[in-house]
Amino acid sequence: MSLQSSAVRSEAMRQPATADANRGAIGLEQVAKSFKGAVAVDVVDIDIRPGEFVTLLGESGCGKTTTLLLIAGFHAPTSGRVTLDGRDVTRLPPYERNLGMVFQNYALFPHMTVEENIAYPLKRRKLGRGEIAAKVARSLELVGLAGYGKRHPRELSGGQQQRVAVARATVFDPPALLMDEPLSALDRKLRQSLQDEIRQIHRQLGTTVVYVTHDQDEALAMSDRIALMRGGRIEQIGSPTDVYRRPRTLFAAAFLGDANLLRGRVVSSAGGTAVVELRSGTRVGALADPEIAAGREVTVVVRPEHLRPADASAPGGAAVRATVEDVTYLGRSICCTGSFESGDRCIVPIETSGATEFPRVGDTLHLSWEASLATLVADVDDHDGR
Amino acid sequence: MTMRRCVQALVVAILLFLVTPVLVVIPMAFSSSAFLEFPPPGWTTEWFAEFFRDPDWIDALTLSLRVAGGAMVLSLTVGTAAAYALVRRGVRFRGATQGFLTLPIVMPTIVYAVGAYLVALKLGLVGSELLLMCAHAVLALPFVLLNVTASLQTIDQRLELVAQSMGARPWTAFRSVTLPLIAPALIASALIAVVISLDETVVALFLTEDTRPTLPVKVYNSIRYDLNAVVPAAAAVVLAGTVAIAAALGLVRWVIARATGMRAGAPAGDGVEIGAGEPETGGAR
Ligand SMILES: Nc1ncnc2c1ncn2[C@@H]1O[C@H](COP(=O)(O)OP(=O)(O)OP(=O)(O)O)[C@@H](O)[C@H]1O
Ligand SMILES: [Mg+2]
Repeated sequence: MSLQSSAVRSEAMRQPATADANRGAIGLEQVAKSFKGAVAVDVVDIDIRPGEFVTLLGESGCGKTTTLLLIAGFHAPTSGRVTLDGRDVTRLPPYERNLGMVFQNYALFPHMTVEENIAYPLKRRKLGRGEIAAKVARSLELVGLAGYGKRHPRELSGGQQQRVAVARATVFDPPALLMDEPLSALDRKLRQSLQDEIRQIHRQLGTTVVYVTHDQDEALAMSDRIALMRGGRIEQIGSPTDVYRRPRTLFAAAFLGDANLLRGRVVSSAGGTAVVELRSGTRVGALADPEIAAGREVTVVVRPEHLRPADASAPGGAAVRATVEDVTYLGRSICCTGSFESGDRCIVPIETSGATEFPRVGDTLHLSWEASLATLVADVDDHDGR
Repeated sequence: MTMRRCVQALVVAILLFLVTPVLVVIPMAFSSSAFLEFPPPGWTTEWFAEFFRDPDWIDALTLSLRVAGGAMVLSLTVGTAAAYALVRRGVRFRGATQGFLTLPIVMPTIVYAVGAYLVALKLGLVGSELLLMCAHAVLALPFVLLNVTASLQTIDQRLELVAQSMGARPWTAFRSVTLPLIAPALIASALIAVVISLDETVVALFLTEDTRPTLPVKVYNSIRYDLNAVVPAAAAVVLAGTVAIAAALGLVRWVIARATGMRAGAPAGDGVEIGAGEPETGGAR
């Protein structure tokens, strides 16, 4: 490493949070990564805005960690470009990228106290003792661990350890924070409170966050945008409501929450509403998609909570009949599963408040939905829906 | 006899076998007789005085210490680098490499000694201190490698990654994170290397010149050729030196463990409350 580049490096690392408009922007342009011919990341294109909270969501092995490590610089992409703060960093080693990282298993240094752990990035930046002490104290405060500084990581609970990891990854004010399943080792309750804390820290510091999880609820609760990944590609990216309500593929529809997937053919598509003929012959409504023309085989995606008991003749969509096959009592609601006349699987939640009589196995339900809340997907799953 | 009795008898036999030589050598070192009689007719520290007065014995001792020090540094450096590469980097033929590096454990020392001697002869390096250091380092290498490998395997690889993400260059990350964590294994390895080198006689016999022997070689020569009464004292010095080094390294290891809070079996401390200024319940047990 030449003298000049190391001077540039310490300059970059010490830079305070200036008003640089690109600070915290992260870009992956046509990035691919394979290991000895095995493709881990196929092609990923993503443009993360400064201060944004983006979640990479997907099943095990879909390339989330690899994508994160590509951003961090621990993997060199097989092809494509990585940019940080608007600069090309494809060839920059991880220790010059100035990014905060948090791993699932905390990765705290066991031989250092909490304070020493948090001071580590500051020491690498050659800050003065006083400044380090002040920043460490402020950071401990931020994560609610003031007074724990002299302990060793071993003497903390899992949640506390993860807070230390967050403090350590943010104390040097990095433009972006990368988190790989930071909460998946914690129990459900703690996870939720830490989700809130991480969101709050994100708001307070204004750093960009790239967050990896395979938990859809976590992704929906925390993100500005969700990038749903599958087989080394981004299947869909958008706001949580967008991805949840307007899945573009069957996979996206099925991955994020429960969905009723009804197969059929588009009969007409006009005035923003498409009419689809289901396999049972019933015609139903859905939001029109300009890319899906009449005549196409499609799947209509209806979220369970959008199903309504059909009144005599609901406008915008005729009633669809479904047979109840199983009823699960959940306290606040009950969940009926069964099948539509067309053979597709059906899932309907029914509020228990006020109701005195619930559907029973074998009952027939008449269901409809607001056409604009149903989404068309151009894929059709040819296996029978059960 | 019951099984238990058998085992007890065996243990006693082994202990006797192990301890008897020591129990003979130490009294002999203080014996007032010049003829290696046992039991000693009287007591004196004269032989130790003579040992430390005689420049030949002192030369042998310092040569042994230098060689042991050099062998320790060499085997520790090479062994740690090799262990790191084997554990952390994708080394091809990992099994074969590890097997090759640990070969000295099973290789007959005499074979190695003869081979080393022939090479040294060819290169005109018989009597070279450096060559002896290297030879001893090779003998100690397997133990360093096994120790450090085992220790590295218990350390989360992500620690170094996290350190790098926080601005540490790879070497800094290794030095500030991995090295302190494997320090106990390094100290144990250093101890083993020193002890192996200090009393290694076969290879040293081949690779030293008659005029500049290491301590064990001189002990051997003396007892063979002049039946010198200083020999038990010299042996006792080797023993005392080994015990002192072991104790010193053990102490260092304990101090490190205390300083880093890596005490074995320390409480996990889940959910402990903040005790204002509560002292660490360290060590004092
Ligand atoms: N260093 C590596 N060498 C070889 N293959 C790898 C390496 N890292 C990842 N892979 C492969 O690349 C694919 C994607 O792995 P990755 O770790 O990115 O998945 P992930 O989405 O993070 O999964 P998980 O949710 O299980 O953590 C997997 O098939 C994995 O086996
Ligand atoms: Mg992963």
